[in-house]
Amino acid sequence: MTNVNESVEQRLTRLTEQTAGLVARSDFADRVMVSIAERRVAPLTVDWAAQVMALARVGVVVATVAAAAVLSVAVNRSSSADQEEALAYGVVEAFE
Amino acid sequence: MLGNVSDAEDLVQEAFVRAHRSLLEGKFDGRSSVDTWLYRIVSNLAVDQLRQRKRRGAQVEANDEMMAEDGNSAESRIALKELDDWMSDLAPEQRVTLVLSAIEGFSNLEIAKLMACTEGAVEQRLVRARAALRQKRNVFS
Repeated sequence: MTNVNESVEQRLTRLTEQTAGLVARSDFADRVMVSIAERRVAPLTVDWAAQVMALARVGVVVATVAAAAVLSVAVNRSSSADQEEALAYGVVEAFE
Repeated sequence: MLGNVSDAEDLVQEAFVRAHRSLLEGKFDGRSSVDTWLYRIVSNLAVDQLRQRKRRGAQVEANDEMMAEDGNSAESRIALKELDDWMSDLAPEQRVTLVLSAIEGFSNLEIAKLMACTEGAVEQRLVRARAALRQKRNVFS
């Protein structure tokens, strides 16, 4: 029974000792073997919807990264084209 | 960990099934001992089940008929119920960590490996769990 003067450690020790003898039911091992055999006969069903969603998520990330890369290249090209054009016309833009 | 022999049997059964499947699929790399590996599976499943229990707000219901058939003494079953009630408010990770430490006798380093966290995290969970249990004991006394 609970003793109000018991410390946490004492109570843990007592309950550990009192529950040490707990055992599984006698048919436990048989049930585990049956469960393993059943799962082996019937392999896990493939969750196609989940797989498609996972692939779609990866696809969205790849597409986003690709779009960012394309945008970055386009901006760089546009900037260097502007510079070349300015140089060709002898115009030098000064930013102060 | 779960405060109920029947739930514990179901959990260990599931752990064995998963372990068997992993062995067949060659997922066990042998870096840890089989014991450690099985404890890791059981600990993860226990944390998951305790989380689900918290989400559902479910209480462990003692099925007298089933408990009478399990062959355990009345004293053991009462102690298990007392332990479960006492630990019921702990966070799942704290509860599993405390059971592995105080009841199963694992070191903090071993628990850290089992639960894939740092030793510091284990120590923190144990300190918090003991503080919560002390608090609960004070409330009841």
